[in-house]
Amino acid sequence: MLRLGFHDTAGVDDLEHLSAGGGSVLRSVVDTVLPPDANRSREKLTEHVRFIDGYLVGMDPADLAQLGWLLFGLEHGTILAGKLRRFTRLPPADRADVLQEWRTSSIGLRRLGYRSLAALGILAFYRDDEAFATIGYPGPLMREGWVGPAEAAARYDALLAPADAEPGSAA
Amino acid sequence: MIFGADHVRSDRVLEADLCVVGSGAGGAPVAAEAVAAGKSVVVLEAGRFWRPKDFTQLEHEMFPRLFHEKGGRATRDKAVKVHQGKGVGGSTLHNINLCKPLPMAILRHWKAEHGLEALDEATATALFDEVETRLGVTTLTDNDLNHNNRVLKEGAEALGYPGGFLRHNRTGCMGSGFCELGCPFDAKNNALKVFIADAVAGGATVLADTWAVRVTLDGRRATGVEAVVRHPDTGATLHRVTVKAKAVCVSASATATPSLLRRSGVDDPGALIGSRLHLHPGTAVAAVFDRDLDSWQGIPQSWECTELLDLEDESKDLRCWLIAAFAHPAGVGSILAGFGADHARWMKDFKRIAAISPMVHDHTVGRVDPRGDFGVSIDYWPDEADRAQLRRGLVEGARILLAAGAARVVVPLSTPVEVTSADEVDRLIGSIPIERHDIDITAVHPMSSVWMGDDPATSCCDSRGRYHHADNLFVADTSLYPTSIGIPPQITTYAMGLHVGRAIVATL
Repeated sequence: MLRLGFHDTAGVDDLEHLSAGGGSVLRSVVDTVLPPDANRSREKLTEHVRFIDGYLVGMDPADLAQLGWLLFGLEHGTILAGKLRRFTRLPPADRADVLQEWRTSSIGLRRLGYRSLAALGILAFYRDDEAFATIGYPGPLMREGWVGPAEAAARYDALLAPADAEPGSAA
Repeated sequence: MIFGADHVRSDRVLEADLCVVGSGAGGAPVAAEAVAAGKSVVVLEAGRFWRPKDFTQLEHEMFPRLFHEKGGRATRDKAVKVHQGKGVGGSTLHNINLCKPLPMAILRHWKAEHGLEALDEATATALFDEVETRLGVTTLTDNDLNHNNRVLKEGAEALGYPGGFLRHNRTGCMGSGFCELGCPFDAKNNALKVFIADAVAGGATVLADTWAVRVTLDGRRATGVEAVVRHPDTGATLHRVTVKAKAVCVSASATATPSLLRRSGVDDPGALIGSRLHLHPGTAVAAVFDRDLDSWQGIPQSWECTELLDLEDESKDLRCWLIAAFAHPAGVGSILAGFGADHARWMKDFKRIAAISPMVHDHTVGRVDPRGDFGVSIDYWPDEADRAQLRRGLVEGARILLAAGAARVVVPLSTPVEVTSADEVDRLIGSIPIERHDIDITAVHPMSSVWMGDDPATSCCDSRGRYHHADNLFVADTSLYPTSIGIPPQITTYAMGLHVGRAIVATL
């Protein structure tokens, strides 16, 4: 996986699928994508990045590599948006300018890059009641411990093979 | 019984009369039919066995569980999202329960082009009736309309546009609105609840978490399937499974079925397999109202507008279905709402947003190829004529939303187009470009990649689902359709499953 130097990688230096540098860029992306919140902590942003990293488990290696290159391109391609510093070192308003440039770019791949990163950030954000409350969404009706209708639970449980059963015969 | 990855602790061999690859609307009735006829059946399903308690109603948890590539599957250039389900029950776990049988005009067109000697109108109608009975299909009523669908209905009626209530296969629905994330109330009369349950009760063995790698062949004769059990989270290969069978039915979806056949090296003299993919591409137009709608609540799609859809008379070129569309916060936010302050502005109105989706009965021909041992590679972008249909759908969707009282309408392009009066619709939406990565194009109905017809030179399977160039090898899923069908495919797919299942039984 791609390695980027000179990053603040605290909290993202042990990711499973993204490099520490990639995680650092992603943290800046998430900070820019999410609704502005002066009280949002760095720890919360890090948590979002760690969620996204976990979400990548099982992804095709080629897609993972593309994501690494996408983050690399965003970090080092800011000059194309008229910025002289790398993405992670830009102030928030300038980061937003860069993402907006990607979002509305005449180059389809840049628009795709923006869409992909924004979707990951938004998926990471709308995971809990705190985020749901910001938009008046009540969240799931089901809460932890829900087992479904009792009759249905029994019916489906009966379809499942016993834990010690094994199908067919040994090869 | 249903077995999962936890049950398979070593490489395994199974023997059966029939091996079915896939447990959705195509494969499940095939399995049930074979079992009912006294045949031994093994079903291989790539996804897990989920039960109502597993449907947490959280997008970030359910996308990975219920959708291939965690809901991120897309065309090769990633310009069209292709949502395809997995899990025992396939896409019927997450679908919206829309029940529309194949229009007879489409069947007549198929018969004119491809013969289909075993599938006349009477046979098809009887199959659809049987499926609807087994699935408990009923027509929804005004009481079933949520606010989003009521907006569609009221707006369409204000404009004099035709439409009507849809038919659904749900029993005991409490209208929670989380259908796309699986039903924790078990209200969906889906492939798992109806057909797989019957198959298992009759002795079928279902292997979940098990990915078919190739159909094995001895000359022209299918002899079984080689598969692997994969870790449900990491995808790591855990063990190999060999199924020896007298017949094989591939029902893995219109992307995975052709990929599996190609990967298996079946004879394909015309290089037809995978070459005729249709997707029903769709997009969305949204609007903010001055009242709360809570569009995520209630049955998501209960009313249809057919102003732009006429499948009986092709000369009208009306190929766009208008349907209510909504999702939960991540789904809506990622399509509609931009980022940062722009995102906050839109999502502040989340409770007051309605949306309509135009879905096109597409003429565009795409293709699908295998990607590695398990994946698919999809090439598809709607041609100009289909993009024009989408554009008309956006225009009429905007008109409907405004007629229903929307304060502002938005087409979520990269630079969103906002409209506040009907006078602006044609000028601002009627000529929008529909370009790759500039607008969300989503497809949920891949089909027609291994299509049926009487002539082996121009089709892949006969009208009983038997692959033309192999013995004892069948297909039963949306792959069989010779064209797009213009309506949600589940009833037709279940019906073809019964039809093909009976044909298979007759050969065993």
